[in-house]
Amino acid sequence: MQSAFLIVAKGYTEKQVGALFFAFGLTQFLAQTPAGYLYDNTENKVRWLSTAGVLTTLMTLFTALFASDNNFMLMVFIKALQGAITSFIPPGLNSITQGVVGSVGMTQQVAVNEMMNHLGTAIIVLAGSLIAFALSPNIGPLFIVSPIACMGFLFFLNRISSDDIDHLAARGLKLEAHSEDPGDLVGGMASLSGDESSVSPMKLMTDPLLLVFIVVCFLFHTANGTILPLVMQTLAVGNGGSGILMSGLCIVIAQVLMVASAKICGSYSQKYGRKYLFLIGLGIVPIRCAILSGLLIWTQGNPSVFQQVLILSTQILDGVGAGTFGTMYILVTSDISGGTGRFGMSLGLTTAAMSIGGMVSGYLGQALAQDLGYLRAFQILMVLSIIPAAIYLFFMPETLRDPSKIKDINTTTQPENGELSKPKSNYVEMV
Amino acid sequence: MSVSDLEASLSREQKTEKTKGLLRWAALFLGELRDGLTMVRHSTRRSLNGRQSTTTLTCALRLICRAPFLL
Repeated sequence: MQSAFLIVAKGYTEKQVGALFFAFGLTQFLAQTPAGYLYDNTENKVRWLSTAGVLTTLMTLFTALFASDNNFMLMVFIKALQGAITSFIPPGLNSITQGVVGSVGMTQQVAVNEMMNHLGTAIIVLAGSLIAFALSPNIGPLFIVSPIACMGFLFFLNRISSDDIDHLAARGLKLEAHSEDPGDLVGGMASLSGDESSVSPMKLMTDPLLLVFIVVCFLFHTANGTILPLVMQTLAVGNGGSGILMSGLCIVIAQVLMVASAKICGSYSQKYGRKYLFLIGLGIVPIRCAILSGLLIWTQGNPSVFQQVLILSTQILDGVGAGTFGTMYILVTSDISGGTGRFGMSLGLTTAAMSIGGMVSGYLGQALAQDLGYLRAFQILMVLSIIPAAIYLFFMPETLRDPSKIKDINTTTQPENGELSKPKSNYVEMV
Repeated sequence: MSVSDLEASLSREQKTEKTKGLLRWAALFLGELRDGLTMVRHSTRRSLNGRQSTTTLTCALRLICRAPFLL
């Protein structure tokens, strides 16, 4: 919405907006890893995350209120700063989550977090699209959504006390939060450290398993990121009030499916392991591209309403693919960084790979579509998207610690020797 | 395990459950801060990609992306 707002209400040209968001994406990419490193080494995780949320909101409001043709360079600076600040959000939330529930509780809690996250996005995008449709082209008042969401976020986040977060568990140095026993972390890279100290950043960044996973993250987003914009362009949606509504609908469909995918990941990845679920997420993209290619051949560039609905319905696959990936990449990162004490930094590295993949993707997709046409673009993206799936299949092991060694606490609540039993809990522990 | 240990464990578990609930609600609102940017990125791509952009930075990126196909 911001770019549409800047062009329509503030008189910015497309290339000016392009420069603004390039600065945003670049600093976001550069700051991800240092942000993760910081969360590994601070006990003020809640404060850092709250500050990032507040500053992000302030900068969005600043853009809405003060952007003009006369202060373009200032806006470039603001967007660059905002990019760097937003990179503190994903590792912050996930570090706190791991600090509260430990590695053993991550599957359930990350799935719940992601479900709520996508649900929140779906609600806001739906409401935002309807408001924008009603107000178009003057969509400035839409920005009031940001401070409202920020207040809700701060209210709940700041009720978490620092004592509730086990900082060793947050870093991946302990399997279970608030436990004396560090647990069996051999499934991760514990052998790199050997004790309760963290590995050096250089050692982490040269770990072959993490490097392979970073490549997978980059390639997935390079292939996947551009598909939605290409679909929208194929349908020639995106103009005027109805375009905003259709764009919103596309995002809402995907977000609702992402809620379901996150739920499935939470329910089954602890049971059947990470690898097959992750492969489903990766494998959806070439299938989606193949379907889109088939539909483009069928429509001959002039789709009927029914065919347009069919093309739009491929967004369902986007919801499944991106939803599965969004949940599973956090869990796999948690698995492979187990014992290193560098969960935040590892997550920063994988998220940075996704950021740069997303940035490259937009330009790659457009270059392909412009030079070779939409059909060939989807075909090339299909081939490209097979590569991360193949790499994951052949080079990534199952990262979940031996599932046969995991028991559910729900099954272990029988009293023994007259002692009180533990209450039922949703998380699992290692035995 | 003694009764006092178990009570402490129960109290810790109740606290953890409460914190998990807070995290869940924080994540709901975080959507706008984190994924709200999805809308930004999405509409940016749409407006950017629909037309030829001529800034040096975007030209450089386009060139890098096209390079493998030009060879």
